[in-house]
Amino acid sequence: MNQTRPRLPGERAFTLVLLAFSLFLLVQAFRISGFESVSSPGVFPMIAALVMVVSLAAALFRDRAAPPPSDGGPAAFFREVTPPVLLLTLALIVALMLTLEPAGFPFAAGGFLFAAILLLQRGRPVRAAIVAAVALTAIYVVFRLVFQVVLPEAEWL
Amino acid sequence: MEGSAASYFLMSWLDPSLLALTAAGALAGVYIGAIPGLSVTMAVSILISFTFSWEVNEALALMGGVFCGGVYGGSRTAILLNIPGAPSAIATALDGYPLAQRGEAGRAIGVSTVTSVIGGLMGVAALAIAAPAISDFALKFAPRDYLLLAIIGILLVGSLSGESLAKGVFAGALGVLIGMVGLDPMTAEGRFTFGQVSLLGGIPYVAAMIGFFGVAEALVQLRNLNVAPIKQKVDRIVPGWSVIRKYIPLSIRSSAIGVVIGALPGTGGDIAALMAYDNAKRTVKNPSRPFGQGAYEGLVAPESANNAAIGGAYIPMLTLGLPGDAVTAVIIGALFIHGLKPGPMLMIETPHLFWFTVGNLTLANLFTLVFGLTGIRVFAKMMECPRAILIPLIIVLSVVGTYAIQNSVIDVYWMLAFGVLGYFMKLYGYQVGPVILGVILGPLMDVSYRRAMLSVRDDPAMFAWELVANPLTLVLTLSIVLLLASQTPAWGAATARVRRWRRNGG
Amino acid sequence: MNTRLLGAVAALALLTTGPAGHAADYPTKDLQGTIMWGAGGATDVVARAITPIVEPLLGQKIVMVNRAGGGGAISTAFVAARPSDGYSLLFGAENPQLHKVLELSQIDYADFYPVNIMARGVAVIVANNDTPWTSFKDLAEDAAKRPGEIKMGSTGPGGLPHVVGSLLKTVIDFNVTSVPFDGEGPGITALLGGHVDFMPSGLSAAAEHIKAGRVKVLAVVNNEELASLPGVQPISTDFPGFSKYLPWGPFYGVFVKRDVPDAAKAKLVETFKQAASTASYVEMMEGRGNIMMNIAGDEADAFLKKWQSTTAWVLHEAGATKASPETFGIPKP
Repeated sequence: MNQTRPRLPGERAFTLVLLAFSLFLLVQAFRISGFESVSSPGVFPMIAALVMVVSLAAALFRDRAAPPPSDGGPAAFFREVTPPVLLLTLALIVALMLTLEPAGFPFAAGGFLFAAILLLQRGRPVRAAIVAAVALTAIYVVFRLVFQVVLPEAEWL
Repeated sequence: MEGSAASYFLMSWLDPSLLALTAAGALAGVYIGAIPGLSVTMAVSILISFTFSWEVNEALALMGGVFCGGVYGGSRTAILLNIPGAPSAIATALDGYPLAQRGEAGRAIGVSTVTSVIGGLMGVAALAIAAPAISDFALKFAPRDYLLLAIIGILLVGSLSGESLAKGVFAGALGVLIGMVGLDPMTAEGRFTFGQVSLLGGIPYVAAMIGFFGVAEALVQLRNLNVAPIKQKVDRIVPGWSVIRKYIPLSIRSSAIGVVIGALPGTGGDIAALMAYDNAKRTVKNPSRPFGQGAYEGLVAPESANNAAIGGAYIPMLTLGLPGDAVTAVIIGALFIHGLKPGPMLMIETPHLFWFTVGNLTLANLFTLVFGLTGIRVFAKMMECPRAILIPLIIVLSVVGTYAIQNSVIDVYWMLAFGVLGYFMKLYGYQVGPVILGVILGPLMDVSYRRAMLSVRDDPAMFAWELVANPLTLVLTLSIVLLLASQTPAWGAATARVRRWRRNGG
Repeated sequence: MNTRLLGAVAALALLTTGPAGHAADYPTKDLQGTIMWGAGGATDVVARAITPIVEPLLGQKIVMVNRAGGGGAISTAFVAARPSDGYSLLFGAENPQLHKVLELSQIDYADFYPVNIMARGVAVIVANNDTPWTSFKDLAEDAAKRPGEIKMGSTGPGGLPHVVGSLLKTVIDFNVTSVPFDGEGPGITALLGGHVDFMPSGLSAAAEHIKAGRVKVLAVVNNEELASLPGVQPISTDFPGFSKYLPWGPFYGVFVKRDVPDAAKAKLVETFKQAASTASYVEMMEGRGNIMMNIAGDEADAFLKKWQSTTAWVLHEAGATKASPETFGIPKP
């Protein structure tokens, strides 16, 4: 189980962020009920947060020997870990989330599907529009009509 | 009496409308199960209002069909898209998705269909033969036994960790913590709620499941946009008899796990599938491929177990009126609405119900086999859809599916946040499987541990004594000790020595 | 039979009534029903059984969603945040009336208008068959001899066993260990397995197990004997101190926000009143050991206020609250 894979750009930073977050959660877990009793609601959260902290520390310790990334600069991070297509897709997902309730599901999801397909296949808007329309109709029929899931609908409709 | 049992058994086979309802239920169930966010529990709840004015047998036939089809259907999307359609299919994704990536999606679906039905029929057989004995056995499980069961399950983290055990353990603990969010069910104390009303109810684990599996995988796939989709082999979909025969022993073993876990009130098909996967991983010596990389054994075990858990869940429901899982809880509600009185007297007051259910579930399994084996080609071909289209579709489906759990946009935010976190975790060598394991088992461990502790009035010495004082508990405790011991290097050396000694001495 | 089959196919293909006609009067579109507890629970059954009767009377569908969690606080917060147009219904139980004193939420039924309180339940005290007690008096004496050793099944703060347990503590010296489960069903399961010794429970959850002799009933938490449980002593016989708190029990109702237009309220009240009088519904509810109430408006408000004042003060006196009822202007009974 010896790790020989070279570290990826940002790997150590990610572990450190997780570690900081775990420490924060450990404090929060302690605040639930402290060491009040062995059956208090805070016992398991504290154990879980402690395990998180310890295992991350162990991971950091093990990885210390792993070869560092060949190119550790921010440019490499953006190239290998968060390439532009990922960031753009994430931006579209965030837009979908934010427009879901104000614009209603059909518009938000339709817009997202169209834009995302357009982005990922680099052009061909007609095909993107057709695929988006067909998929949207199928999803709407299955969820809203057949299974009565109340999808977000704009109030102004 | 024997004659009447047979006639009740055949009721849904001979009455054309019951037959058709069972078939319709199984067909609908396969698709409900396959779509993440649509759950069997939800579908059966909707059917309560819908079948209100029907005869009770008709309502039950439809619900039985949906139940069987639905538990099976979860495997579809787990194999094809790495999004388990239902929590009970999480373990299926672990080996199913790697199979699809090797171009064997069709065969994987075929094998999981057949073994699902074998498991389903084993569950029904257990219900028919041993219902009273199994339900009495299930009642014996005290809170401490649930705790030990959950610990056995969580030990699976060890084998799901991938490149680094430390990272796997972290992922498992993270899952446990996600499962703790919300008002503590025992004291109504807020845990990690940060004063937000939306967090009082916790984070639905289906949202975590869809995020960590579906969206994270979709984001990872963005990196391979220009790689041509995998060509799927669709020539041999229905597995031959020789293949099935090979998996039958494992299927039966997993079914036994499924029946017991399903019959325990408080655990259902999701936990059954994970435990069966764990068991298979420990006991199958020469899997078709290493587990986690597309082992058919990794499909057979969870799919047999989660379908066997259906029959298991009906056991306490029919004998005692106690639900074995979430779906049977809803069916019990439906029985009340239809004027029946689920409880220990149910089998005496409505004698037809037991054998009717057995017959109906048998039929529903056969329909699941039929519907499961048709249309696989179309599904498998879905994998060949260009990623530029598939990825946006997966994301929209994940959003709708998460929203459908309880019509909450906040759950969607969580799901997407987990998706992004899962992306980084996958990239940096953290497996996401243990997270879901933790989310499912964490709350069970938490409440069982505290109930057990409260039962001995917070006395740790007494608690430790109870772990060995009762035969059932002792067996579970010893299993954990053995499982832990078997993971230490000393164990490997010891077993090797025993094997050598046997070979030489025998 | 064929029509039924067609119906099923229609159900699975299209679970909706076609485009709704745009009538001038409320309601003109689907309603949304929020159920306070999970699928299969007592509140869920009460709610899902009445909707199919209400729907044709209203002429619209009610789309039901379970929004359990937070002891009911999730559902009240959700419905309170919906528009006050009468299209969002809350199907709930008694729990929100304790949310203020338990500091779970600042929302209770004072913020809602009771469209109908369909029924109330009666609590019983049931025990495992292997226990030596034959009446509640035996249990109380045993508990006095072995303080803390007897295990009581419960369902968490504000739940029925918790309230009845507090009631017992207020009236007599009653020291037992409470082990909380996820609901009455899981509690009864643990009782059957002998993992707890006794449990206060709603009659509806325990009735079938009593009838089958799998558990024994020690007392009815009521002033009089129940017709459905002949020969079982009311708790006030041996302990008259209880009678001032009785009758006490859970209840189930349907609510809308206070500021919904009167026309919509009137329409809903009328429809639910009619639906809750339907013979099949009454029969189902009574079969589960509930007592039909079918009250609305001011009558229901008075009932809610009285229930809240009794229960909140009992809990407070037993030391089980986080804030005094006085803080919220809940009057002493």
